[in-house]
Amino acid sequence: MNREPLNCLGMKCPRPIVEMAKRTRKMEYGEILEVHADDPVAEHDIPAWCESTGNKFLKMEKAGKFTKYFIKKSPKS
Amino acid sequence: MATPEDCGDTCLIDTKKLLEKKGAVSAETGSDLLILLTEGTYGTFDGPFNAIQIGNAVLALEKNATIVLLDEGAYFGVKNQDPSEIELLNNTDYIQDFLDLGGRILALEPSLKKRGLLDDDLIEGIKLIDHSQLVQEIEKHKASLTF
Repeated sequence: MNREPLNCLGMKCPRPIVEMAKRTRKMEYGEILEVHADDPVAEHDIPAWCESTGNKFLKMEKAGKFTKYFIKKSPKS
Repeated sequence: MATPEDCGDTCLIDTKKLLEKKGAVSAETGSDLLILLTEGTYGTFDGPFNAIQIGNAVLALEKNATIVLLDEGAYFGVKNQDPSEIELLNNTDYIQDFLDLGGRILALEPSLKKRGLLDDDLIEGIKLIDHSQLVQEIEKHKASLTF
């Protein structure tokens, strides 16, 4: 199922991970979440959030003034 | 990689450090956090704003969090609050996020009554408790923060 990227532009810590938590609750395991964020702290917050929640951090890509993050919803091991 | 220092005072929670302490927190204090909110909202030092941000971050990390509104903190849960005239962010959306993510918000009934507030004045989902229930909440949580 394709979903719109989660727009976290302009949001400061901890808003992006709160929005991610809200979105991933509506997703099925295996679905990919794309997050757009421009808070530099998100570069360690988002992988740390994945580590804590069991979701798989796939990659991040610079896209001009913001960064794209890709997360696969996964069961907590 | 960016560090919390890179964002100056805009970063409220360092989740990396939080995770580093995860083992110790689990062993010593459990994973449930109780936040006691005693300050009125939208003050010059806005503890309630910080409290709800911390609460939401804890819930986002799939831990449990409960906020208890007491004393002046009772005003935090009032519905239809609008601080736009003093140019501050409205906490209502953050409160709704907290409830949607499974957090509990409890309000001490005597604190409400003392300030002329009723159950109907509060945002839906906030539950009233009395002093004995407050003691029970404090007893069953091993970690607490007071604002």
